[in-house]
Amino acid sequence: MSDKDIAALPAKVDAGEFTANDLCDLAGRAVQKGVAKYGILHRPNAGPDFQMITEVFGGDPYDKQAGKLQASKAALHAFYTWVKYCVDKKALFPNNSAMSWDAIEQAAMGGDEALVFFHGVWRVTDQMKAFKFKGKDDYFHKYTWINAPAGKKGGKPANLSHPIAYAVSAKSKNKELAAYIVALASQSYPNMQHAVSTNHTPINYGEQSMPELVDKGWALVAATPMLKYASFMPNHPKIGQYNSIIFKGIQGVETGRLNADKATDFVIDELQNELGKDVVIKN
Amino acid sequence: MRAMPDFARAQQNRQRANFALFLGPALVLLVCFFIAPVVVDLGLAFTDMGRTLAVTGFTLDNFERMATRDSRLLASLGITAIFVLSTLAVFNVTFALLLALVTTAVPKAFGAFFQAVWLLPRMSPSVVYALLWAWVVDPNERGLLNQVLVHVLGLPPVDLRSNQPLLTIILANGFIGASLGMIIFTSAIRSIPEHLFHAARADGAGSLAIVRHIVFPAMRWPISYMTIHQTLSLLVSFEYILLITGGGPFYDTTVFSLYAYRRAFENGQYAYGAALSLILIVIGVIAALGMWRLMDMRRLLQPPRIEGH
Repeated sequence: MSDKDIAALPAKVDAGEFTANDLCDLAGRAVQKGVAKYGILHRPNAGPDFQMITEVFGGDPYDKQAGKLQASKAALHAFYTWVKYCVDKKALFPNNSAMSWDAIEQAAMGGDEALVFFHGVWRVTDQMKAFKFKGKDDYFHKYTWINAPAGKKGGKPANLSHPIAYAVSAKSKNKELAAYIVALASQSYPNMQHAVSTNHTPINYGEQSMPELVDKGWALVAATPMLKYASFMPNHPKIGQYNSIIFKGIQGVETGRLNADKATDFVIDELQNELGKDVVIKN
Repeated sequence: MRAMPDFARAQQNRQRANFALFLGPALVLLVCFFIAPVVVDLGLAFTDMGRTLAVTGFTLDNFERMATRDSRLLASLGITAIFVLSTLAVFNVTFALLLALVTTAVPKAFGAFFQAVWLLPRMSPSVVYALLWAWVVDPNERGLLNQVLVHVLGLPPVDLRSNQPLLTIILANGFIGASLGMIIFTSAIRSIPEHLFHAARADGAGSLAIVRHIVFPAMRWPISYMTIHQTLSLLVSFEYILLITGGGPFYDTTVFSLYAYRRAFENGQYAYGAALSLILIVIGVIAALGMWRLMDMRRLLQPPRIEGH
């Protein structure tokens, strides 16, 4: 793949021309030809990262109307079929979930051993340090960002965001004061300062034009267009358990303990037993 | 009817006072830390207690789920059986015995030093010991085992934690577990009257014959005791497993106690965790009573057969 191909990749992903399977083919080739030690690396434990890649196969963890978590057997099966495909192609590393965070960060950043790494925009600070980049140009010379590619040709890519919800306790004696503090912190200027110091995207588009954000928050400016394909992580109290079960399925397939059929059955079984009435299972 | 003589009453009172004084503290401990938890666990198993700790009613759902819907339960019991039996057979009894024999056969100062070194992991916190193991079996070239394999022996690196996870937890538990057996067995060997060894030597017995005919007969009770104690201990211990493999990869090293812990404390299903723990309690009681009978442990409580001087 030439530099020109890489530069054209984000647009191809957004157009649904370059699919999730294509990504595994590419990563698998890179491993087999010795270009990279790892094709695609992901976090070693459960977390929200995997929601976007399940979504391109039709997964949607939340039923907004009912306020409940949900899972679709067909979508899960398509997703775990993809995971198995990637393992067979050597794009996914079977023992990824046994690696320590240190080993993964070393491989994906300073060590320069991974072709693709699933990560959030807040990682940019670590990546800059690991490669000793001087600025934006150095960074984007090394890294190209893509959304999670579509599950099939012509499909939609996906991305993920997690807006923080503030909750004021009903028992609080200072409800109005709490709401006032939240309102103050959500003003453009203080939120922009939070955004640039933590590398999280700002909460309103107006902040994009503030000089300090343009200067220090170039990564956030670059990430904002990707929000077009973003869905949100549900603010449901049991989303952590839900994500753990999805991850256990991924680990089962990656390590060769489960195939796509068994992984789907396992995840449905665990979701029903663990979350009970909080989850709706669909076909 | 005649009144009880004063001295008889005084004696009875003294007996009661002695009973309260000597057995009382042990009974209080027994009730608080052994019987009460079992009763609480039994009660909880029939409720629907979840993360909020609220109990809304009594139910048999947990037992129905165990019997019909828990697809991991049997596998977890199987893993527990392999883990307990292997660790026990290879390390906590056999290897401990070997350590005791070797450290008592060498000069005393050297043996004591070696035993002290072997006890070091027991003195350090579990987390430190587990972290050391995590470093030993780390799959990349920084792991201690791989440093030896790659740089000293010129072999390819291995990933024990992913490819031999059960072996990893058996080794980690076994090396630390063997030290307790070593101490008990050492004291048993040291309590054998020394003249027996001299007499055997004078009769022309070799080292192996001495071990077989003098040491082993004196080891029956310590071995029986260690077997029962360590079986029960291994059945419920999971801290090293949790810290080294996290019960994985997938469920490969999720022993039953870890499984019950996960369901109860990580998933917030306290009632279901309690019901699972009941299985462990039943297995523990059956194993203890069965082995007690099989090994005729009642005879252990009889006066010692070896007289000291």
